[in-house]
Amino acid sequence: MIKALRNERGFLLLDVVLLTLITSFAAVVLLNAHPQAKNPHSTLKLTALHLADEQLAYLESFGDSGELQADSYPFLGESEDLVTENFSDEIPIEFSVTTRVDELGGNLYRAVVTVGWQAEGKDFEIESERTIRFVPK
Amino acid sequence: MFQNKFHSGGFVFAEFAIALPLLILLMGGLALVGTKIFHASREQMTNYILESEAQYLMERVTQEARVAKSVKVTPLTKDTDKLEIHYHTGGADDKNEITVADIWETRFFIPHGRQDKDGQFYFANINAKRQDDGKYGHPITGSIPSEKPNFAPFGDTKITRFKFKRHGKILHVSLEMQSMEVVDEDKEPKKIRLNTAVFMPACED
Repeated sequence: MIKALRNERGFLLLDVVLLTLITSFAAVVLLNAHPQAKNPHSTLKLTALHLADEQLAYLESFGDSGELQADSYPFLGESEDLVTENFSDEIPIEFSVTTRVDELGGNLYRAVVTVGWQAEGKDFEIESERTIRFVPK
Repeated sequence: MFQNKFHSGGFVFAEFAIALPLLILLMGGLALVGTKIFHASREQMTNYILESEAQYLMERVTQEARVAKSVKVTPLTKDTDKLEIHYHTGGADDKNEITVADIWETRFFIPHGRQDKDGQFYFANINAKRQDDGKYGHPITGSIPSEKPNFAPFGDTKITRFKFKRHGKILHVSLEMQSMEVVDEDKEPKKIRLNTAVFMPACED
């Protein structure tokens, strides 16, 4: 047996090191890919963007009826839209909407709507801006 | 340079075999992670299709409603409405002069009623494309469920809620879509609900 092994060329240490490197590289890539594949935050971002659009639609209507002022506004849309189950059925996510309206001059206003939410212990936020024309009555 | 001078090679098969159980364990682990990624990718693809279809439909409704001259909402069921949007459109005459003609156009948003394989009535995706034979096919998968009732191709979606509310010149839209893909038997099917509102500056009624 030992005689037989003595004539064996065998693997070099370099071969084993290279094999280990390739395998560990594959392991690192695969282990990182797994949590990335489960990312529900894009759905929440989409929901938040539509919520910001809802608020901006109400502000546009204020501008059209001559009621818009440079001020902060609460959420003007449907209150049940502030809670979503798009993240998961068991965990409803609540959105907070803050709005700031500034006068730009020339009957134009700039509205900035910030929608914030908390998921998996982290805070998220999106901001949507729109220039609104004020129609004086 | 790493070779032992006393015999011709470095590691021999017998020595390498000691590491074999460890390698098998590592490969097993990699295969397990690979399977998990495969399932996660399926779930991610299901979410992606559902999300993009809901977003696309919502954009179509809001962009059409934005230019509406008048809007009519007719309830179909508890969770579904028919939306009818009338608007003006311009036209150019034959002499290539730009004129604005008073043409009225109407756009309808009506979910297509359909029966699924269990005989249950549901509203299919409103984006469904109509084929030459009048049947509706899925825009992404191209499938026609009526032809293959027991086969739901990957990514099919249906509408579970499509409601509208008017507040003056504001149209509130509530859309819920559900994926017909079953990723996990224990979990509820994936759903997405989007709510938004659109201001219709030219709306007269």
